[in-house]
Amino acid sequence: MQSIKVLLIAGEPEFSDILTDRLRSWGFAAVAAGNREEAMEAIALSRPDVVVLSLRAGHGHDLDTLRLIKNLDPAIEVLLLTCKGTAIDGMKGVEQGALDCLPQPIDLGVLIEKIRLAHARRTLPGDRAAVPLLAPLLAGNDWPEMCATLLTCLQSLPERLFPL
Amino acid sequence: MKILLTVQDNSIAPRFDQATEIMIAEHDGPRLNAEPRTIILPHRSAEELSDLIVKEGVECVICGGIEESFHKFFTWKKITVIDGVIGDHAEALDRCLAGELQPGTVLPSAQGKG
Amino acid sequence: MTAEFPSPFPGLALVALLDAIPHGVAVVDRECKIVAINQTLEALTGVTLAEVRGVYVDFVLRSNIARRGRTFREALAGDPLTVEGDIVSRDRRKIPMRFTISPLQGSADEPAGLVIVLDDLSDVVNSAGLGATEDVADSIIGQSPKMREVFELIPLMAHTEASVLITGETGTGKDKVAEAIHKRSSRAAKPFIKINCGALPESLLESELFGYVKGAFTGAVKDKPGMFRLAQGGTLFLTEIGDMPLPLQVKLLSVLDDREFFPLGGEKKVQVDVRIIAATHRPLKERVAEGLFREDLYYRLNVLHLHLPPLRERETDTRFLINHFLRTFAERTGSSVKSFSDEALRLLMDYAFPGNIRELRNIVEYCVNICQTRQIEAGDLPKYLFARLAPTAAAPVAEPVPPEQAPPPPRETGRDWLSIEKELIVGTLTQTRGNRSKAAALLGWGRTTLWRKLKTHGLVGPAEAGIENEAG
Repeated sequence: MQSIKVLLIAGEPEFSDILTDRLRSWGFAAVAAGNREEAMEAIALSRPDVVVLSLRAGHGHDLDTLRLIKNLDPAIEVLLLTCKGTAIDGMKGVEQGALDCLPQPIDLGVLIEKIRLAHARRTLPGDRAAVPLLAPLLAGNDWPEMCATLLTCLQSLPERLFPL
Repeated sequence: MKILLTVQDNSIAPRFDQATEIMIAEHDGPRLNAEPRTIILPHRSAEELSDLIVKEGVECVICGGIEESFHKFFTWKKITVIDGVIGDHAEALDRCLAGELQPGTVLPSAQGKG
Repeated sequence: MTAEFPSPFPGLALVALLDAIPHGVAVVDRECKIVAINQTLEALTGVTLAEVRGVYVDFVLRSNIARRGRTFREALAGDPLTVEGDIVSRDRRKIPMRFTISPLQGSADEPAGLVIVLDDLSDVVNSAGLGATEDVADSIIGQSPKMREVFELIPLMAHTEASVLITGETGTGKDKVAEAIHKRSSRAAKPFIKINCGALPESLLESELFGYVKGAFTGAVKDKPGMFRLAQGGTLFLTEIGDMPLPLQVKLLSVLDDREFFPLGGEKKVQVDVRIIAATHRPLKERVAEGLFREDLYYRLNVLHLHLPPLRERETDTRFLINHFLRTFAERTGSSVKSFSDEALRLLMDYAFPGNIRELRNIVEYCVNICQTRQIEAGDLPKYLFARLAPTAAAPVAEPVPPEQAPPPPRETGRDWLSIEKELIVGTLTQTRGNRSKAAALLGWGRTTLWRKLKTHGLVGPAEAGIENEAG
């Protein structure tokens, strides 16, 4: 399976460095951008699967980056990282199409799980696509990942079959 | 019981107030309950880290250099501080679980590899 | 793997060269791992070279300028750099530092390593009024006659090797006086290490002072030097000496007498070349009477004695300090507060200040922060002051304040110049075991000067002539 491509958009370089390092050590193809301009360039260079966008307090325009990305390519899944001042922005973001918002400081394990979930959602347009996705999972033993993928597969099926 | 370690790459971070990555290990006696969690801090702040430690109910902090005021605060809150530790965080955690980690210890791993 | 660093003088080890420099110095290799550190840095960080050779340098320096190694890598790329920041020292203090990082050229094209010099900026920072809250105005300020006496004694105390005992209530500035003595002594370039004997349990205090060898107890993974070893050549400042447990008092006494000791679990004796300054807020004579402090140690430490008067005995100083702190805090917080009202001032002048200078500083800081106008009124003063305007035992300050002290014995107050000088001479002679040349040298006097003073004090006589020739 190819590495999941993650783009991290965060203003703090130390934080970015550490998080991308850690993500890479977990097998993700992670790159970082410090602001919206860099982010859009990075996306143009290599389309990410998942974007992790940090919403900073006092930077009201950070949420606009979400809209820009979704306009560019709605298939890119976005996870928002919020802090004390941006919890509400986070919720707004989810309404505007972000997959989830996570409060900081983030638990690496939790973030990784969400990234995988986001990626699983993305690669699934329909139940047919689910089969090749499921096969390697079933061959491996990653039960939590399997469950996450199964759940999203089920969620994408027509509602009359599986109301959830 | 929870042990919190301030880390930098594979080692204990040099300073409490400069830490950006921490690990929280839950244990029952000398054995860990589960894999330690890694938390990445959005920015450096000794105050916020202290809040986190208190909120998480951490009972023991393993770190590098820490200022007297924070050391006093944790001691007052009955949180053990093992400071001045130099070396691999995994080794530090092992020794701590075995009840053998002293403040100011330079672990063999710090000099060994290299 | 260490790079080669050729010595400029045959037989001279690199470390001996570094030890002569009165700043912390570290030499690292291309991987930023320690090749050498000097004694000043050992004392600052509380580790010895043997313990940390090969360790990544910032684990030892504990700086805020490393940027996860980037700063050092930039220097290795060729450009020396100077950057200001701070470190966290062995005794948990944040110390402002200037770091000068220079690449070391070996025979290859690329630098073989780096030299990092640490310049303590504490004094610079403090005099600009920018010091951390802890440091500001713990400085020794005062113009009252009693404080002037103290100031005059400091250089004298500095010029001898005799032990000094500093007494005084909490918050009177004992720490600063001890450091001042050290800085004016011949040991100034060597470490000044402070240990609070009341803060540690006995076992920890013993290992802290004397160190331990590998295997001495569980967790003793390698030899650890004690503070006596780290302070080598310098001064060891033992505070709350009155709280030192009796067994350790015995060990301390033998160290003072024999100038050597065994680290915990060790079999090899360690030589000691350390000057001791001790401080206590407890009336030690009482503790001796109660059997809590050894009499022989008391006399051994009390060769020279300096008493810091409480603020309430320092007349004009209170007023002076109030103004000083007011200016300092107002400037730092950008406040527009300019003065105290007459009533507020009167209340303060009447207050007993059981916490002395530290308490006064805290009160002024509180007022500057609370007051919204240009003048601090009585209503801005902390409420607890009104409950305690008469000198009482209890104090509302954060640190523990001793119960009302017994009046100091007559010997300790109202001393005149001559008696102080006599005590100094006797003390030094005791230390040099009667050797007058050595005593004169220690006191910074010529032999004839010492002889003259001995006569003035009636310390020379026909009976004494015999003693002069003994080796002691």
